[in-house]
Amino acid sequence: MKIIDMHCSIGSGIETQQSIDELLPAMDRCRIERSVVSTVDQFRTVYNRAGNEAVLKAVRQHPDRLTGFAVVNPWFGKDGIAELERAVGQGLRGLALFTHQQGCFLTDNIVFDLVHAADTLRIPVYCHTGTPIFALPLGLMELALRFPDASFIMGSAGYADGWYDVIPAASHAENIYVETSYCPIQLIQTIIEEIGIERVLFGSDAPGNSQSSELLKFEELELSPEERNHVFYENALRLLATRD
Amino acid sequence: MPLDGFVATLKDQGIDGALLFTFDGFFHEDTRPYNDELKAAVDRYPSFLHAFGTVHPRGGERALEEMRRCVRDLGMRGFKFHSWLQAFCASSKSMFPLVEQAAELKVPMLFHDGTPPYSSTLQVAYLARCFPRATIILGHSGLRDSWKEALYAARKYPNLMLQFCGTPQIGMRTIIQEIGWERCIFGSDFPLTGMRSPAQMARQIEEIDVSGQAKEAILGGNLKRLLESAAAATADRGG
Repeated sequence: MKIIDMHCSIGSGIETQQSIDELLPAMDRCRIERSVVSTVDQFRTVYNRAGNEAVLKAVRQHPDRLTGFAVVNPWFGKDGIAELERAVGQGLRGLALFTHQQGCFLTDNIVFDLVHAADTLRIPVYCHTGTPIFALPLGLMELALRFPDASFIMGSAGYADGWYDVIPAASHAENIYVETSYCPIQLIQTIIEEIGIERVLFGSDAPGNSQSSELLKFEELELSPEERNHVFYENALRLLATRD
Repeated sequence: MPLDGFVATLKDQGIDGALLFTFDGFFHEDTRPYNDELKAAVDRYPSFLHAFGTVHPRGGERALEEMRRCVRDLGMRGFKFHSWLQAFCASSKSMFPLVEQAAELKVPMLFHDGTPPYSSTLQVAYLARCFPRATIILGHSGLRDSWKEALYAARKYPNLMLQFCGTPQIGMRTIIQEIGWERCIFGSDFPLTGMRSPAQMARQIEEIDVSGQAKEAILGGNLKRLLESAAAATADRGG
């Protein structure tokens, strides 16, 4: 069975470190074919270009194993949009937002401007969710409703305190995909039942949680091989494919 | 705080009327005694006080029955919820029948907002989205930082009203400029916020650079109209 991990971080941050020399063997052990990677810590908030460059370097070294998402702090405004366009031009395939660290609501105009640029570039948008006050599922719902042609990934399914609003958000905005890192097993089951298997994506948030422990959750879920293939592979593949 | 002193303190500060909510009632599933207490207060000062009752969504059918009793028998003109104190999530499905009931009774619902994870501004706005016929009031218009979310939601959901109560002046001013004053009302959270808070918080509105008409409407006219229209709806049903 093929597996794509929709969200991991690489980089040497002040608090968070993970190199590809650590990630790739972990992927091998878990038989994960591909991981979607983006940057960490100060590279999410301030040094966006340096973070994106490090991710680009990793992706170029391992194009068969890694897909990179660009990170831009919305507060950089026009300069940030230019960095997004540059990084995508160089080979990154999505935008990742960490508004809990970047310090803005998902419904702020600076976010709309940046996501408009991502929509124009036809790339998916990953949004960290679950951290009050700046990164909650209903903020993502409003953002996704504003850009109906773009695809959004609800990172960590609102874990923890946003869990109540995962299904409300994803059922009102059909362009939201839910990524399962940290998400309790029972809630994954409910999400699958309520919003459908086509919009659920496996992710680990490694190094926050290990890929192996996140994969283990799915052994408890009674999914058919076809359903597993959706969550682990097909849905991600569809999302990462270039939009026309 | 004893009722007579409560009313006298408000009148001292030039307040002409007050909308009263329970506080202790938020800690109980059976809210009937607290709603009765509000009714008794209104009966003592009928030309000064109005009241919004409360119920708990865990009460199910009993809560709906209590909502009908509040409006029909106790003469209440709306409902107040404080979801994090009441220990439920504002956007949870258990609220849906209550919102439907309020819409049917044609009375507004006011929610504490601005406090994730159980009473975020967008969770309250979500109810307005799901029930366009209901009138939903953001009790604090985002409280502090979430005023931007309150503004975004108010632009989008016309059945959302905004109470200025603890909202930063910059937020109040931007909201009035962007969506107008017609859906904005004033509140002070007295006496929890302090004995002089009504005067102090009214001053914040008076200082905002908007028209006199806007200020007058926000400081009373809009709420008066809202309460009158809720009362008229009750009278239409012969209730």
